[in-house]
Amino acid sequence: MPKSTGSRRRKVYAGVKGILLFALPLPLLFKAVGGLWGGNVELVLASGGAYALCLAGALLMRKGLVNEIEHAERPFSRTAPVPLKTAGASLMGIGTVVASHLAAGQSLVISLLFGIGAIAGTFMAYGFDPKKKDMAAGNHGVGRDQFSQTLSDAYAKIDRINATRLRIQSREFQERLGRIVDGSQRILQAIEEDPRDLRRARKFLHVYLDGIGKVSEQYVQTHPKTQAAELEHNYRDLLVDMENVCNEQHERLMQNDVLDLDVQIEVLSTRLKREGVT
Amino acid sequence: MSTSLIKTLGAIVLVGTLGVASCQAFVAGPNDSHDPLPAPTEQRS
Repeated sequence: MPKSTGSRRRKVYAGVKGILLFALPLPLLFKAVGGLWGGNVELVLASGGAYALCLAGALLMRKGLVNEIEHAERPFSRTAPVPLKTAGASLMGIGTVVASHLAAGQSLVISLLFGIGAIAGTFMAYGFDPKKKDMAAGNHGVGRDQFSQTLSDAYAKIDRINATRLRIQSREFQERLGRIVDGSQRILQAIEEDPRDLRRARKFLHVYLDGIGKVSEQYVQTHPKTQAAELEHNYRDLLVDMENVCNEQHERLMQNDVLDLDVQIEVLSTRLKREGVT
Repeated sequence: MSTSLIKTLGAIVLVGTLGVASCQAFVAGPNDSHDPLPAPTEQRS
């Protein structure tokens, strides 16, 4: 199944998980609406401002939760994760201070304690931002930075292929590219689990991902102008070959057998050259 | 301490701080929002 549905699932999961942060400040919204109804500007600013801060914090926290799930699945997809959960928790704390001090009329000291408690509670309930994964890839002949950079680039290529996939009108080609995206991600996960596979899959990461990305991009640009049957046929063949290569690459990585795969790679490489990609 | 226990405690702390603060703000009257208390009126005997 293409990963695009996974992204939707992650958002739904994070939305359900962070629902408390959206529900708790709701009385502030009602109070602000009441202030608006009664023409009390100070009340509207205090309650509305506190609610806006809490809402912004909750949205950041939800985005941080989605990022955390993605980071767990693809730890090398980002070189430096954005600390969204920290920013979200901070906004929740400031919103609580504003609500307690300006809207509820508590003293500043008590309000600050409420704010600190809200930050602590948010971190306890939802955790901290994921840290950049530290991996001893250098033990396997690949530098850690190089390892991280190569995987990060590969994930970026897969994301571009997936974006191109969504612009293709043919359902069949979309599904085939979806399977290629999934297969490529399985290969990257295998490399993450065993960094020695990076050397074996280097050609796949540098030649084939680039190749399929460029061909798909060219197909999307060319297809609306010309409906040539030969173009469809060639592109279908290429996608089928690439699906096979993905599956075989993954199996070979599992078996740590490079030799047969190189032959397959040479065949597809020749095809890609013939298509004018490499 | 297990992760689920920490998460549950965190949710309770959140309800006790953000939830209480927002509810206090909701029930507070218009004059409670940082206005000085009105001076007591003198009663005529």
